[in-house]
Parts: sequence; C-alpha cells; structure tokens
Amino acid sequence: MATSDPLYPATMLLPMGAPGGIRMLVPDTPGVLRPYAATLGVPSRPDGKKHDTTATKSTYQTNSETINDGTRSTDSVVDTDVDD
Amino acid sequence: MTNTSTVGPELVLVVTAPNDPTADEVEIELRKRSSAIVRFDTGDFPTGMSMAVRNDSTRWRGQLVIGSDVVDLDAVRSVYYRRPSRFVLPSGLSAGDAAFASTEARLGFGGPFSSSPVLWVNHPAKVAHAEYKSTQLTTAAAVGLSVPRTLITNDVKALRAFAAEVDGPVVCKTFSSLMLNDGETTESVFTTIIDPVTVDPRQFAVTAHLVQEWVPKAFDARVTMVGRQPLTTAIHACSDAAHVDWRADYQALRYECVEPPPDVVEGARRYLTAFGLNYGAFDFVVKPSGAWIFLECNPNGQWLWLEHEVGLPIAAALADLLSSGISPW
Repeated sequence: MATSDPLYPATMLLPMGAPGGIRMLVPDTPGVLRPYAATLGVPSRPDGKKHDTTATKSTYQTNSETINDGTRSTDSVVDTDVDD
Repeated sequence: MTNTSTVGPELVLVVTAPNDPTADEVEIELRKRSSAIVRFDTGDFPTGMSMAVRNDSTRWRGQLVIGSDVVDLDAVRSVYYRRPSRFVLPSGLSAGDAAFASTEARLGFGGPFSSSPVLWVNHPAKVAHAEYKSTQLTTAAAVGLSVPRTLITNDVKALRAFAAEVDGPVVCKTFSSLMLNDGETTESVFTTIIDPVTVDPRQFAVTAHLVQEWVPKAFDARVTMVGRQPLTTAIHACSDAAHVDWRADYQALRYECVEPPPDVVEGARRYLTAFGLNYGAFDFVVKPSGAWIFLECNPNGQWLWLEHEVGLPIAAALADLLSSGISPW
C-alpha cells in the first residue's frame, strides 16, 4: 500500500501512531479561512477523574516530508496520549 | 518492556508504549491467570529490537528479539495491540532516508507481525477500517441498531435542506479527534449544536462535515464490549456542555452500571463481528422513551477510568479473552 494513499495513510497501520481514540495535537496558526468544524473548538478543560487513571505524559513528534510539484515541505505532528 | 524468561506456547503479547497505565492493569490480570507475557513497543524497532522471519508455506515463522526477550511467533497465543508508538530509527539518517526506512519498517516488520493468525485485540487493519464514522453508522444500521439521521457534506445548501427536513436541532461533529494548538491554547472540537443559518458557506466548503439530528437524551451510555461481554455504564451529565457531549466536561459526569437491552447487546456483537473486532467502546444515547440510539464505536476506546468509577471488571475481561486466545465469534 502506498504511503501516499489518501484513505489509508501510513499512520493508520502498523505502528499505529494515530490509533483510534488518540487525539492528535496539531500545531496551528489559523489562517484567514478555516474549516467550519475547526471554528467550533473550545479550550480543553482538565479531564478530571478520567485522566487520574491515565497519567501518560508521553508525547512524540514526527516530521514527515512531502514534495509537491518540486516544493519540499515538512509536516510536524505531535501525538499525545489523550483518549476518547 | 517486561522481562520474561519463559516464553511458552501461550504467550500473550502486549504491544503498547512504555507508559501505559491501562495496559498495566491488563498485564496484572494476565499474571493472575499465569499467562506468559512479553510487552514491547513497535517503537523499539529497529533500535531496540531485531527480527528474523521466514515464510513457511502459509505463514511467517521466526523470532523477535527485544532485549533479553526472545519471542517465537509460533508461541504467540494472542496480541493486545493498544497504543504502540512509531518506529525509532538510528540517528544520523537524513530526512529522506528516515522516511524510507520508516516505510520499509512498517511494511517489513508490520507485515509479517500483523499476519500472525492469532487473536488480536484489536488487529490494526481492522481498527483502521472501523475508524470511519460513515462506515460505523451504516454497519450499525445493518446489524439492527438505531442510528440518527446523518448528513456528510461540504455544501451549506445541503446542510440547510437537511436541517429543514429534521425540523429540530442539528449537531456538527468531527470525524477525527484532532486537537489544534496555537502555541498557547489547545482546543478540542466536541459535538456542537449549530444554527445552519449562521454557518459560513466558505468555511463549510473547506472540507467534509458530519451533521446529525440531535437526539434528545435521558442519558448517555458507554457499552464496552470485550468479546461477547457487554460492560455498560450510564453517563449522566450535570452541565450543559456535558449534556451535548460528555467528553466536553468530565468533571460534570456521574456514572452508574446499567444493563443494556438484549437487542442492543446482540447488535453490538453483530457489529464487532462485521468489522472483525474483539473489542469496541460503543457510545449510545438513551432517549427519554428508553430507546438506545447508536452514535459511534471506538475500536480502541479508553476504558480504565470507567473501571475505576463504577468497578466494571474490564481489565479482567480483557485478560480472560487474551489468555483464552479463542475468538469470541
């Protein structure tokens, strides 16, 4: 399977850096146009008792480099072990 | 990683990141059942793990060596595949070579490993398929569960027509669980009741949006299915935010154990069978009429906090399933 597959990207298969339930924390500086759903975001509240049981603090960052029409760009994604 | 000197024919692999309290609880329960366990992280490969496997007719045979643990793939009975991390490559690679090596590792390590014909909770490819909310809804309906009317679109005209047809509140929810961080604040997008009239068509056209009829609720319910076994918690919201989406305000929740209706349990079992899953965290709305409406199923959903809140023996159920190595279906 090609890593550029738009429906099953590499992160969805082994090893699952972005498995179900993990929210991916994306560094973002909003532009002039935003996806409507993204505008519905609210500041995250402390998760209270739920995360008393999941004290995981590990984060890891991956940089995936893509080339589009000769332009090289790097996406930086930080995963946090925050669950649904 | 857990040091295990004896690796027998009933080996349970716990595949997750090093710091995973939820997996710790399952490991404790597995030890009570005298299960042989090896815990590792895919992030151990290749710097902390080596592999050598050969094709032997219809399956791959060989070993993984993780520190002092040697895992014979033939000895594996089941895999608890929870929250493993990405491969950690040796330093000194260029970005291009790192991307190359990472992709080769995914296919070269992940391919033979994930082809192991044992019980998986859950298999990553099955999880990937089951992540699609659109497929969740149609599968749930196919197995007899009630689902809300749902529209997926980037066309605001379609949104407004849908809202008119619903003739009641509609909510917008995301397909994923991305959180955005502007350097200071982290934002999460929860299910939100929206006014279609005020939606900016340009923003709405940027990407696909999931819009759903608002289902009036007496309470929410989380049905944690471990194999055929339902472990169910009613989630009562004590704030406006939590009433719309309980994830928005964990401090305002009250929990109690409940029994779901038999047809809901049977539907959940059929759902897991349809996706080839052995675990699923189902979210339902329970209407004031008592009807249970399926919202979604997270194939890798969190559960430990519910075990602590109401005493549901989820870790024990997972350990029973993993140590049996027998498909519940």
